[in-house]
This record gives sequence, structure tokens and C-alpha cells, in this order.
Amino acid sequence: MFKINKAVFFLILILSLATCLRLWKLDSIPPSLYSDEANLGYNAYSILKTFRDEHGIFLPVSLRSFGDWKPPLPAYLMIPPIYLFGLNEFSVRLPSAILGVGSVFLIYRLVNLIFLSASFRGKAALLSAFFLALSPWHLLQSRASMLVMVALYFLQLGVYFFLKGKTDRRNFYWGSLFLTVTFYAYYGMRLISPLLFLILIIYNYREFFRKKIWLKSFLIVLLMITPLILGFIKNPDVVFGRAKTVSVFYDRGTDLRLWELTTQDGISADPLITRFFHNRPYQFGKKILSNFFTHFHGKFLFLEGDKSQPFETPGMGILYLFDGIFIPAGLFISLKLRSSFGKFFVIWLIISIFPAALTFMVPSSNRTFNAVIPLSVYFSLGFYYFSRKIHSRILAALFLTVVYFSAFTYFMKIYFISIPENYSHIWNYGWKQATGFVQKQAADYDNIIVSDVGMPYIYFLFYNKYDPARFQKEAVRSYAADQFGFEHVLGFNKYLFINEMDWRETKNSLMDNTLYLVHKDRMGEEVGSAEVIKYQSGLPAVNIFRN
Amino acid sequence: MSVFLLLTLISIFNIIIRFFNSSARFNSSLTAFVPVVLYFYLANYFKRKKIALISSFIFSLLPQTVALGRIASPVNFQVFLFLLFLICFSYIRKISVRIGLFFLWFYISFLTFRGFWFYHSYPQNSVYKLMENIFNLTSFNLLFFNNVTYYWGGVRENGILYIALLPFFLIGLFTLIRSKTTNIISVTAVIFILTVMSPSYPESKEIFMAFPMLSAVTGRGFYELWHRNNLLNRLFTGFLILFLIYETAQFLHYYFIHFPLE
Repeated sequence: MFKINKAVFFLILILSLATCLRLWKLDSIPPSLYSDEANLGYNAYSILKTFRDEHGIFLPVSLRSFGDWKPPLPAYLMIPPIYLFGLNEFSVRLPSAILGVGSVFLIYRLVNLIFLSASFRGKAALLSAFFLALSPWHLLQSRASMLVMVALYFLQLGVYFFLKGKTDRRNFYWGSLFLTVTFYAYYGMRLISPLLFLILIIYNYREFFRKKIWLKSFLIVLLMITPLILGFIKNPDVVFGRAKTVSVFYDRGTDLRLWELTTQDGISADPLITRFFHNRPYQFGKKILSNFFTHFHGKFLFLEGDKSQPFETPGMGILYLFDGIFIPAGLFISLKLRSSFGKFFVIWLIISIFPAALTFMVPSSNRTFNAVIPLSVYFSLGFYYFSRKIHSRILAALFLTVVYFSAFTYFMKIYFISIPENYSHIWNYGWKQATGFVQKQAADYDNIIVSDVGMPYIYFLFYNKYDPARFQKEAVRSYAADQFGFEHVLGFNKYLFINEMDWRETKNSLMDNTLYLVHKDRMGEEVGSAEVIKYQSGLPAVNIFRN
Repeated sequence: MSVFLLLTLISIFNIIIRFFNSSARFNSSLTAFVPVVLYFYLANYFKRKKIALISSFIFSLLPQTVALGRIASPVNFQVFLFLLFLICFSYIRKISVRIGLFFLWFYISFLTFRGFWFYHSYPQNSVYKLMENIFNLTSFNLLFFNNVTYYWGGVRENGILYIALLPFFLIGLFTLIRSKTTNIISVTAVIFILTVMSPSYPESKEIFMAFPMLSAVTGRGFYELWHRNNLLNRLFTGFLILFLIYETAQFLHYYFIHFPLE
């Protein structure tokens, strides 16, 4: 009885810590809404007001958004907080933060369930929850509204219920339901969830194929994916829209290399031999494998992290350097365990990274986010193993606590102080302030021309709480994808957005009675604007010119 | 087939691959026998001739073994010497003789391997750079996809090991750690540490001395997988062998056709 209470006590402490870390200053750290967050928020607002997204699609099964076809569940989850607290940063980020805390609780339950017969399961479960609560990777995604946190939560829930199916078969239905829900949370889950689903069926095939449980489960899955199938029939981009633009096969580099090698073989070479050595299956297979293993590079995990915006944490990796000792040890222990469930997290880890390997922007912390669960479990197993090996427990605990909290403090300093002060550009800082400025002046001008860096149109919609029904009618779009696969809004109302604006040229042919907002990336060496919106570091972000 | 016949075949393969259209005759002839020395060292270490034979063969196939074997590089002799030293070390038990042997090896190495950074430069002193180097050196990217440690370019299209050897390498590593047979891993770790401390890293000559050890780990994994009497394992191993043959052909094609052009 005492043991249970002790575990519950520690769990409550861990969950309280996780809640504080995820909710404290949620509206202002990260320092600005990233364009994807603003987009999800505005689409939620649009659905709340009109039952349609910004493109005018009725209750969408996929948000066309910037042409990246975002799965809609995160936006639907934002509707209640937006209804309660209004359209602001807090409402947009709240679902991710709450599900982030939920994810910490679920890892505790999952580890307890998976290592059911192991003596260390209670401690490993608490340690896993503790490390997940403090994980920089998990914290960063919990405090931003970026799809993957929602997806991870439902994936954990699905796996948990599926594993519980051993004791009560009705849990298989819940497991199937939640695993399918992830399809609507993040596109990578359309590959990850079916693979995990298959593995879970293999693990539980005796129970799953009894008394038509499998049939009912498949019916649930079918029912759940019906909207997606119908959406796909209407427009295949609903399912493959994003994959088309980020796929490794979209990258021309591999094809160009193939062409180069084939040309070097010369015209005298036997075409069969040339094709034998230089073919797409080998080149792309090698590329995909290389992409996969890039995610295990120590530099990515422990030193530099994800370099793509906004997932960058300057000066550190996605894990603590300290984790590099315990994770391999935990992995080794997990492989040594006789229970097949010990290997379950290995499969989870591999499956989590696989979709990212099929894309060309690697390594990616966002697309591989589901790997945070197995890595936390390995950390806890490794940590537990080492603590058992050391004779002086108090000294070991003291040493580990000091080292771990030093690392955690360093991360906190970067995340809560350095990023807002010195790296606010990572989060598209400046557009909110520019919107506020323009709102006061807009009535005095016929046109407002904005350099299109970081999809500024969405900030004007979001912060002005622009009427969604009006925007759906007014928006001018080309629907032509740029080099990164994004579609731009050309204008609405008196706003015009110029994608490749170069201020050095634009300034020579200014329109009358027009306000110009030029992002610093489009300024060149020019100086001397009427107003400057600055980053928190004091450097210019958006320059404003009046004519 | 007798072990010695197979070993002879490996040596013949090594001689052919080195002498074909190459001018570095003396150097090549010496390195052709490194797999033989490696065999004797590993046969004693693992107490299993098959593992030693497989490891020697894997070492002969490695891209950098072929590429370095065909040029006059001082590191070829160093690997030969290093393995000879390890063999002697494994047979001699007396500490004083071992220390004497170590200094003898160090002295010969000093005379014949002046390119080794330790003899003429200070080590890398930035902790961040050292960590970065360690992570690069132990990355899958360097081991299996893109070997950037060659001096003056080299065949960067391949990693240190072929991709087909990846499962064997991982299984070998796991088996060695589980069975606490970690001498080979320790020797590799020492060479890796010396490599990452080099001010000219990633370009490195000394890393080649770790290749016999990496081959041994891979050979151990191959043996482990093949000797589990399981049809699925055999099929998987068979597939990997076919893929290894394809990758070796790929490398040789690249080395003889594309590498001179690039």
C-alpha cells in the first residue's frame, strides 16, 4: 500500500513539474507564433465561425493551408480554447501543452504495462515520465502548436489500449480507434500508425483474432478513415499533397548524380552494365538508408539538434549530452531482456524514424518526434542500470542530479532567455508587432504591400481576427507551389503580398498612398525606413515605408 | 575446404586487386598479406578459425583497404606492424617483455610513420570540436555511407564498411558486448580517440589501423547470424551476401571508371 502511495506521490510531483514547464508563459515563450501555428489557429477560428477552413472547404479532413495539406485534428482541438479564451497565442498552444502533460502520464502507464513482469518496472516508469517531462525535445514540441504533439499523444493512447487488450478485449476497439485518430493529427502517422498497428496485432494475435474482435476493430478503422478516403476520391492531394513536395523522390540531387555517373560511363559502355551499376533503386535505397541513420548522428542528437526553423535550440541538441551515456546502455538492456515486449520499443524507434527517411530535409526532429518515447524509456533503463551498479547510492544520486540539473538549467536558459532575447527571428518574430502598427494606420492608405517572408498574410488575419467568411471570398491565390511546395496568398482587401520582393528595385516605382512593409531579408543593404519593427535583440525585423 | 586453402585464396585475391593496373608494387605486396596476419591474430583471439577467416575476407574487400593497398602509403606498413605486435602481445604473458615490445613497436613506428600527427603536432584542444569529431567518427554516415577520412580526396562514395555489412556489424557489436569480449572494441576506441584528437581530422591516416578491428566485429556478427540454425536468418544472410557482392562490384566499378575522372 505504501509503495503505491509513494509511486502516486512521485507521479503527481512529476506531472505538476511537467504542467508548470508546459504552461508557464505559454503565450510569450516561444516569442512569437510561427506561421504554421498561426495558420492552424486561424483555421480553427474559421471553422468555429463558418464551419469552413480558410479555403472555404466545409469541415475539412485535411487543411490545404499553405499548400502543405495539414491534418486537421490539431485545429479542431483548438476550437474549444479559442471559443473560451479568444483567438490568441495561449488558445492556439493550449491543446499541445495539455496533451504534452498527458503524454508524460501515458509513458508512465505504458512502461508499467510493457515491463509488467520486470522488478524494475515501477522505477523505470517513474524515471521515464520524469525524463520525458524534462526532455528538451518534448518540451519544445509541447509548447508549440506543431501537429506532432497531438499525434504522439493519440499514438501513445492507441498503443496503451491495444496492449491492455490482453486483459480486456474491448480495449482493442479503443486502441484501433485512437491509432486511426492519429491519421488526422500528422501526415507521418499515416505510415507510422499502420506499421505499429501491425506489430501490435502480431504481439497480440491470439487475443485479437478471437471472437470477431479483429472484425469489429477493422470496422472501427474503416469507419474512421472513411472521411479521408472520401476526401482522397475528391482530391488525391488530401492524402498525398504534402508527401509529393517533401518526398526524397522530389529532390533532384539524386537523379542528377545518377545522370552524371551514367554520362561518365561513356557511350562505349554496354547499356546493360551501365544500368546495372547506376539505377534508381540502388541510388534512392542508399539515400533513404543514409537519411534514416542520419537521425542517430550524435551531432544531431546531442550537439546541434535540428537546424530547421523553428525547431532549433541554439547551442544544444534535441537530447542532453548526458543522455548519450544512458540511452545506448538502456537500448542494450532492452535487447537483452527475454520478454518480447522489451524489443517493442526498438521497433517503435525504427518505425518512428522511417517516414523522415523518405523525405529530403534530414535530420528532422519534427518528423521523428515519436522516437522521444522509446528514447526516454531507454534513458530510464540505462539510468536505472547504472544506479544499481554504483555502490555508493547517495554519491551516485547526488552526482547524477547535479549533472542532470546542470544540463536542464542550461536548456532552460537557452529556451526561456536566449531564444526570446537573441533568436526571436527563428519564430518569425515581428509580424505580430507589424500587424499592430498597420492596424492603426490602415485607414489612411489605399494599399498595404508586404514582402512575403514567413507567410505574413496569416498574421494579418490572425491578429486582426479578420472575418473568415469575408476572407474566403476576398483571398487571391495563385495555387502555384514555390520551390519548397508552398502556395502563397497574393492578396486580400487592401493587402498585397509580394513573394520575391527586392526593395532595391521596388523603391524605384512606389505606388501612391501606399504603406510598404519590407522584411529585413528583402532589404539588401538599404537603410532609412520610416519605422522599424525590431527583434527583441534590437536588430531590425520589418521596415515600414510610407508613400 | 581447408582453412589454409581459403586463406591462400584471400591472399591471391588481395594480390590481384592490388597489382591490377597499379605501380605501388612493394607497398601493395606487403598489404596483400595483412589479411593473413589478421587471420592469425583473430584465430587466436576468438578461438574460432571461421570468424578469423570471415573477418580477414571482409577486411580485404573494404573500399579503403583496396584504395590504400594500391598506393604507397606509410599506413599500410603500420597496420601490418600493428597486427604483428598484437599477435606477439597475445602470446606473451610476461609484463616486462610486453612493455619492451610496446616500446620497440613505438620506436619502429616513430621511424616509419612520421605522418602520424602525434609525432609533430599538438592535439585538438577544443572540447566542442573533440565531441563533434567523436560523433562524426562514430556516425553511421562515416561507417557506411560516406568516408571522409581519406587524405587528398579518396573514394568518398562509400563508407568505411559496405551497407550490406551493417546488420553484421550491429549484431557483432551486440554479441561482443554481451559476451564481455571487449578487447577489440577497446583497441578500436583507442585508435578512434587518437584519430579525433588529430588536428587535421577528418582527414586521417591512423584510422586505417582500426579497420581490422571493425572487420573483426563484422565477422563476429556474420558468424553469429549464420550459426543460428534458422531458415529466416540464413535467407537474410544470403540476401546480404548477394548485396555485398553487388556493392563490391559497385565500388570496383566506381574506383576503376569514375574515380579517375572525378
